[in-house]
Amino acid sequence: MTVLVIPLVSTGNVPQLSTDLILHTLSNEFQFVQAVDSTFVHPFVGPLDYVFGQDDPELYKNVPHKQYSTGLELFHNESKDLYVLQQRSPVIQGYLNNFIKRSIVPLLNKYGIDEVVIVDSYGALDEDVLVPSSIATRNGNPFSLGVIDLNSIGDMSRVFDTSLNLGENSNQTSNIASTLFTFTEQSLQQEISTRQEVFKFVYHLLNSQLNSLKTIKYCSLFVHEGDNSYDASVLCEYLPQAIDKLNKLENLQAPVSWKGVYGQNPIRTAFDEGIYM
Amino acid sequence: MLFKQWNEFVAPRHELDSPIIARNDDSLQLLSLPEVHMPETDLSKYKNVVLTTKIMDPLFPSKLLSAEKIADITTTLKIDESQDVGESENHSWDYEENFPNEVGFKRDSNNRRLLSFSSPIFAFKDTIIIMIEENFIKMSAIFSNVIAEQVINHLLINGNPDLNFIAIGTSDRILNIKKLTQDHCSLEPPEFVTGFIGSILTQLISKEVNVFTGILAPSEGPIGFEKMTLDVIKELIDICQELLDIKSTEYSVDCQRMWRLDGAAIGAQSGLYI
Repeated sequence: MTVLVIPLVSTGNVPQLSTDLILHTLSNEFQFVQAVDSTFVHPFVGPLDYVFGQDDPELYKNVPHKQYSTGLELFHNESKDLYVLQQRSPVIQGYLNNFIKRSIVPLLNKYGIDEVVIVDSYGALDEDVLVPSSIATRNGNPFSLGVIDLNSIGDMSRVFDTSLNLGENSNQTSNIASTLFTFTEQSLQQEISTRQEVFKFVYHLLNSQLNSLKTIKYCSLFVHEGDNSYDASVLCEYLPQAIDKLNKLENLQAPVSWKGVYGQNPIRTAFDEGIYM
Repeated sequence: MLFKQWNEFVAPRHELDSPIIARNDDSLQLLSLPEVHMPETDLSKYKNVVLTTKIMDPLFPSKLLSAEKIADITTTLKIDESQDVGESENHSWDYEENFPNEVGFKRDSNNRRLLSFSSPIFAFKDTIIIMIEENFIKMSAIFSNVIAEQVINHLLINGNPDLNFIAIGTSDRILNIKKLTQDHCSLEPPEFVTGFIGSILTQLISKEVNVFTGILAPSEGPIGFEKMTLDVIKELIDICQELLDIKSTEYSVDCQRMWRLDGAAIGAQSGLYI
């Protein structure tokens, strides 16, 4: 079974940070596959990232001529048949549908993906996410995992026929996705709303006639904005529940790019001469 | 453009707080892409192409270089009425109220909202300069990406086979001037570049262009309104003079004079009050 992990750009960038941890901790297993069409994400060009102490960026050792990273890159772990997408900049406002349809769906076709795992994070201020309001009901578990099992093409259309039952009562629209994913009992989230990015992902994946796709999984972590590097390692502990092929990661390795993430940049000087024009 | 301290709205926290060009949060439909119209002018006789943004305008004093405008690149995005942002929509930034001269939407006969930009192409000697006026208040990043893709495609097909690509831009993530080439990246993590120059470099890298040079200067401020220190500007002028083989001794003086005129170089040039 071929699995693709897609991190959503969400609260605290926790899915991206966790992806960094997975890729760099297992850098001897993962290899760069290709740069993905980044038309619909904010422009990004940077150097190749690596773990402190490595002579060369190990993730890119199969492409020795490569000098630059771009906004979207795909990596593959051959022994686990696991693909991981790293998204380094957010989707341009208004172009999320285009991004999924034009950049993501072709990847699923090209690599015959059987299972997609969408990784998300949210905080207390994210109004679009439906979570219990009472802390007591959260039960101390910040992680959620939901699954859509698609055994046949017929199931795909059935899922949407039953789920997209857009009744006259507008309240139904926010809950229609409750039948889309089957969440585990321990999950903090028990449903998704149509305003969440994951809903658009599911809609386009189910309506793109992807023959090989059998399962869509959604997992999310409740986080607080701030220094989210700890949240990223917490998410990594939970991810093996969603990604069967991923064992518990030992000795997490963060790339050198993290050193500038949380307020460690030098103070700027160009505005010394005044902030007014 | 003036960022007044007494403006009533909250300044954008992030460049992602860009204007909402289409209200399709609840839509599952694809949004149309900007259409880029490249001029039919013959560009094959030029050996160098400089791709840059308006902030670098003082590097190319037109009189001194005898630079002439030879064509325009026009880009238009048409947004259907159904995806249009309502006039009474509350934005975190009310651009039209606060910057009426910056945002100028038009409508076509079908009542579609049109966002249109025109970018000039200048030429001097064997060099062409393509200069995009970036402005985070009115220009979505989709324009940068689409223009960059179309321009590089056009130049690779219609330009000189040995065309030398030179991209000059800024980044607020670096501390000194960086030179990038097709086989050497002088950026160190976590440095990176975004904006139009990021789009151009993405295209040059993904299309595996044989020869390109990227010059990145450290800057501060939002996209389209970047500021650089005087030391950086001096260094940038020297690099540009060498790259484009400009012999004139007046060049450096002229560039600095223009930079001061543009008010791009010195923050407090005009004092505390305007």
